[in-house]
Amino acid sequence: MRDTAWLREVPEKNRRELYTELVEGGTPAWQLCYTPAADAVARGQDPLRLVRDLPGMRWFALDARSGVPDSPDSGPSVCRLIVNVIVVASDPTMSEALASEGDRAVVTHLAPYDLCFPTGEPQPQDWPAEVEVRDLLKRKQGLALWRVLAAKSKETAESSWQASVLRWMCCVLESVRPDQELLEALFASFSTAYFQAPVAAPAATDRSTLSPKEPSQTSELRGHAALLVQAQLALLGPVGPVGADALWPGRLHAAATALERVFRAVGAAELAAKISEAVAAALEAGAATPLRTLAEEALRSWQGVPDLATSKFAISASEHPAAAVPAPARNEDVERQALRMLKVEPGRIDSLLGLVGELAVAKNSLPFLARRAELDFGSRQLAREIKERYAVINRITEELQSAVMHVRMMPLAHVFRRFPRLVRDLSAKLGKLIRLEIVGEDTEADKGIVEELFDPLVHLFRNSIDHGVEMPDEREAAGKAREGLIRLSAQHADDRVIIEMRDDGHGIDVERVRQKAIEKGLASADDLRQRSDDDIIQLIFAPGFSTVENVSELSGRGVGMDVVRTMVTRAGGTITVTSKPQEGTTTRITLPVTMAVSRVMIVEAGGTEVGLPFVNVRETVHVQPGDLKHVGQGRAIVLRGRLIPVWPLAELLALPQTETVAGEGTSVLVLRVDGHDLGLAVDGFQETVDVITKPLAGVLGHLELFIGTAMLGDGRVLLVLDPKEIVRCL
Amino acid sequence: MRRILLVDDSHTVRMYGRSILTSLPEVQIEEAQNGIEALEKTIAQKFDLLLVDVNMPKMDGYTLLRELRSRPALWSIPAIMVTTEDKEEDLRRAYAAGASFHLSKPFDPEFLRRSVALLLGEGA
Repeated sequence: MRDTAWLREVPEKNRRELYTELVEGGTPAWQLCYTPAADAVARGQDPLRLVRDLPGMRWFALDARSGVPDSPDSGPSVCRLIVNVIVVASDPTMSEALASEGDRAVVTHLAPYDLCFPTGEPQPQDWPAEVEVRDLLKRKQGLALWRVLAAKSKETAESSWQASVLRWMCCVLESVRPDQELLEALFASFSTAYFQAPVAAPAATDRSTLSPKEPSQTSELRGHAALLVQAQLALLGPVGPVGADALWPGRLHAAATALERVFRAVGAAELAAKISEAVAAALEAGAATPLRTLAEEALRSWQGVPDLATSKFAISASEHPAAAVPAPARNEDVERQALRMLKVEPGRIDSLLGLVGELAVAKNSLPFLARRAELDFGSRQLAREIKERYAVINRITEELQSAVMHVRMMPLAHVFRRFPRLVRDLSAKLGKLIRLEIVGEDTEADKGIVEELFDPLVHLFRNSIDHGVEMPDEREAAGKAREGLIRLSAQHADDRVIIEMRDDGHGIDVERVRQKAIEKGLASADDLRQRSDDDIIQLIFAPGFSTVENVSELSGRGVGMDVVRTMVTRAGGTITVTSKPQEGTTTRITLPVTMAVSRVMIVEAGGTEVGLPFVNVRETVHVQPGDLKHVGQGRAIVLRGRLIPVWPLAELLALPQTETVAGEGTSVLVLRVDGHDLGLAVDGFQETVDVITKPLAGVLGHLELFIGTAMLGDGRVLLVLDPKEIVRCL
Repeated sequence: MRRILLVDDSHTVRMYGRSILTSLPEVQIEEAQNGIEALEKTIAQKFDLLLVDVNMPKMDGYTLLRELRSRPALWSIPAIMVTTEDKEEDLRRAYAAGASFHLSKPFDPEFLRRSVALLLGEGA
């Protein structure tokens, strides 16, 4: 069944290379004997193509088979081939194409020993320096032996049997763990010209069994080598350009030497050869990246080693503390994932985003062009075509925009994973028992948002741990579990991301907040007594408010909830707190998922146009003159039973107020700011546009009333108002 | 012939290291008792690998490594740092100073032998 005679056709050089590959690598080799059907070619198959395309194909040889009848209908295309193939692959089923061939493709395991046999014509020749060689062989002095053999093989006629034996012995010696028995067998065959592979050879035992997972000594060595390579990554220091580090060139050279030697030790000569080039490139670039890349390449390629975990060494290595530090890549999954990731400097994405923004604005000029085509040039046909093209460009631009936005997205896990430690440390310090539950850490948001989030959350955690969750005994007395729970969750809601932090502590003491607010004179005592508990709780966001008398080490650093709110607001978010006595406090932060592009509604007021963020726009209404009621000093409208105060926008902006034509009514833009509705009387509404708002800079930089400016499609500049600032002006 | 320098103030540790490493083929082992002596030896003679203890009188392991890594003639020599405990901070310091690898006492002889062999460019 298993015929390896054909291997004699494989040139010795190829067999030696293959032998080395099998001994060093973890991937097993297979012999495939493929006999295509007689009518294969007639049916349009291409057996050779199939063989050539096999993954891991190393060699194939053709043979003709006898006994194929020349039937009249098969004609000249009858296929009489037998194809013998050597494949190196972890999975012998190899390809689906072959699987469909069924019995016609027979796969058998190929051991390294199958490939090792000397060839050539024996010459009448004695062993050169036989005694010395025998002695070196016995003492296992691999390197010295190799030197002698390599020298002798040059003195021997190349095509002779003896030269072949010498070459094979060198080849075996070059492997990571020279096979002593094989060497002795080869040594014996030198003078006898008859080679008998060792019987008790390790490879021979698994000839019949398909057990490529057997931990080999090679893989142990590679596991150890991987540790050393990882240590070099630690030596090279952090990724990126080096600063003023006088030791860096030295560390680079040290790492290069170590890598070169380790690569050589495990037979990765091709990697070792690239080292000096990488060092030169690294020195030129001032960053270790070229060398790092080589090291990572090695680690990656060694992952193919059969199951490191099962090898004896790998266990001792993982027990060995050395594995802990220089092994950031110890977790193979993480490593693999990281390798598939592309690291891009944030600045590049931002400039890409900027360009997309410009494009979005530039495309907005097309509707203006269409209008001109119709009005100025009287071509309705052209106007329609421009509008059609615009629709296409618009769609593509939107997709492009969201694609680029997506690049900037990162999971909240980046921030969230820093909290378990914080909670553990703080609660331990205070002697509290607190369990942290994190939900939805894979929720994604814009990088800028995610980064902004850390500080406010740290503050909230400190608050909860310090003031929220009670001491274990206190909790037990209140009938709660001794262990407190803080739950941090994130989820998407439309284009916002909601982050909620909930503790099961004693909640906010509303009476104390009320008392404190009266003391601080935040509002009149009467007013405060009338307000609902929920309203009172919001007072903790007032600047300078702090309910805890004794400033504790953890949370009383003069940074109150007002700072948290400022940070959240700056990122374009909102924050609310709800609390129930004895049940706990919930803080909810709502943030935009992306921050770069915003939708703005354009309104007219006092003969000019201003923009307002669309997120704040509740609705637009047109009210009859009689419906605008005077309430005290101001005016208001009643909308679905709710009284909404209305201010004329032109007046607020100190713009000349346009005369209202009697009986025309007023346009009111209803905004919602921090949970309160207010109306702005405007002269008219225009379209909403996607714009990139750029903050005001220079002499206008101090104008807080405006979020910034935006370029419109026709080249005009639009000032975008900040609704929160409008409220402060009232 | 590859030359290894064992740098440790303890005679016992040096003997132990020597006994493990002599089984490597074609290796010659030299010893030094502290950083200064080690530095003088590496400047005067050629070494292929150093095994350096962290704590030593006169000049400690970190300083020795920094001295090595700042001299172009010596900076390519791989050096294994032998630490007493695996505090993350210590290890970071070791690699920042220029360690090629680290082992913590007590170490497995086979682990040491193999680490040295690999750093000398040998499979076995």
